[in-house]
This record gives sequence, C-alpha cells and structure tokens, in this order.
Amino acid sequence: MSKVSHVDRNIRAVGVAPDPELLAQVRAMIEPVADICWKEGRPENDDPGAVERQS
Amino acid sequence: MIYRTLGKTGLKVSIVGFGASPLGDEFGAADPAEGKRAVHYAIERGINYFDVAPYYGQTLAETRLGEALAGHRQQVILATKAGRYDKDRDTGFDFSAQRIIRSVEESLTRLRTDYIDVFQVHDIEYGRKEQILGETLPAMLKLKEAGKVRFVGITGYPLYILKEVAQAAAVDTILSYCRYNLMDTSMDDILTPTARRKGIGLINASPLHMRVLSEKGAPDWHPTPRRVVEAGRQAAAMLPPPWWA
Repeated sequence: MSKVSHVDRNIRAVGVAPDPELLAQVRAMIEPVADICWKEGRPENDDPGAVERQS
Repeated sequence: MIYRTLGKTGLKVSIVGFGASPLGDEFGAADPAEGKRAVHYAIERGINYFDVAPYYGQTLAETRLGEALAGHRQQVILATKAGRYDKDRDTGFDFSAQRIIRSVEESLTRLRTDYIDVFQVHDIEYGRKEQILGETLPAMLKLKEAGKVRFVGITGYPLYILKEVAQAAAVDTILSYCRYNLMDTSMDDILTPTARRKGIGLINASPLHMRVLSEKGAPDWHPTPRRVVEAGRQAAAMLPPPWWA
C-alpha cells in the first residue's frame, strides 16, 4: 500500500462478508483458470503442474 | 480491526497487514509524502503488521518505511527479508550466511531500528534447498539468539518447497503470495496442515493476485498466463462500488 485510499479500502473490507450470489458468479467466471500457478525459481522447486511465465 | 496470534510467536497481528513493496515503486511511482501518510493512517486505524524487503525498489521501500515509522516503532510489528536484492532472476540472490548477517545490519539502518520482529528468507525457491536448510536458516537462527531478530520465517511462491523446508527446520512463519485469493486457494490445502501442526504463523500476501483482481489490472511484468489476467479483469469489473470507489 502506498496511499491513504488503499489503506482505507482494505480496512473497510475487514469483517465484511461478500454478497454470496455475486461471489458465486465471480467464482463461476474464474473457475476455468482457478489454481493455475506459474514457474518461479529453480526448476527443481516448481510446484507440480506449474505453467510457463506469461504463457 | 481484528487481531490474531501469529502461530506460536505470541505476536498479536492485525488480520490486514501493510505490504510495503508499493512504497518502493514496485507498482508504479509512489508519492513519498502520501506513502508516509498511508503508513501513519494505517497505524491510526489499527494495522500493526508491516512487511517489507530490501528487494522492493532495491532498498527504497525499506528506506521510506523507516522514515515513516520514525517515532512509531513500538506501535508496530516489523517484518523484513533477506536473500533477494536485485531484479535479475539469475544473479539477484545471495543466500549465504555472510550476506544474511550483513543484510540484517543494512535493514536495521534503513528501518531506523535495533531489532526486526520477523526476519524472513526471501523467495526460497531461488535457492538450493540444501543451502537454505544448511546455511541460510542457521545464520538467521543465530541472529535470533543474538536478539537482532525476534522470529525467523520463510517466503516464496511455490508451495511444496515451502512445506518441505517448514517441515525440516524451526521456522516461526511462512509467507506465500498469490496462493490464497479468488484466483487460487492452493495455500490452504498445501500449507495450512503443516502450519497448524507445527504452530507456524501463516501469512497470505497479494490477496488481489498482484493487481490481477484490481481495477487497474495486472502490471506488464506479471508472470501469470494472459488468460488469468483476462479473467481477473472481468472479475474486477463485476465488483460494484463502494468496493472500487
């Protein structure tokens, strides 16, 4: 964070439960790309299934 | 603000921390005066966990955070890192004991303090596991014994190497980023059981997936595949004000 507005937004989110219907819609939209991880660091330390960076 | 105990450290940390990498211009040029106001505002509103690294802005973030925390050191829990220093992913790392010991002294100077609360190996996936376990962490534990740092942690992106090191060494905290948010929830499956069993504090960084889930969108250097960036852009557009206001 580098701005007061960033801090304020994050604090306003504390303890606020998302709208369940909206959350379900967002999750459904993201689902095809969920849990994709990229290669980072030495090859022997990559997680299984990690994809090429910016592929 | 809501507070939780960070593993077995006994530290009562705010559930929202202050990630200070933007103070080092990692996500575009930051106004130093506004950054200082942001730090003070965060403290006023109960945020007490501040995380930074010498790598962010190649020491700029630590320098700016140190300036902002002058007179406020006792109000915050201060975490920094060592082992990563430069943008070059081939040469920007040094996990040797000698460099770690020098690094803490440099960070103490920039942060204008005489102790670090949580001292972390930065991005262990760029090191050899044998060196992290056999040289880097032992050097950090000596710094803990000497009172330069209160607790020792590890950070990184891939989760299995973090789990392996946490199982093999006496670490107090683990931090990973972009692995527990709307795009990816793997951290909970892979690290939480180990953290819970060993009483390790688990810290989730980049809840907006390094800006993928923001209205501004991902920076050009973001390593994730383009289809993830596009999905994040669409997801962010679905979220109404006042969230993005």
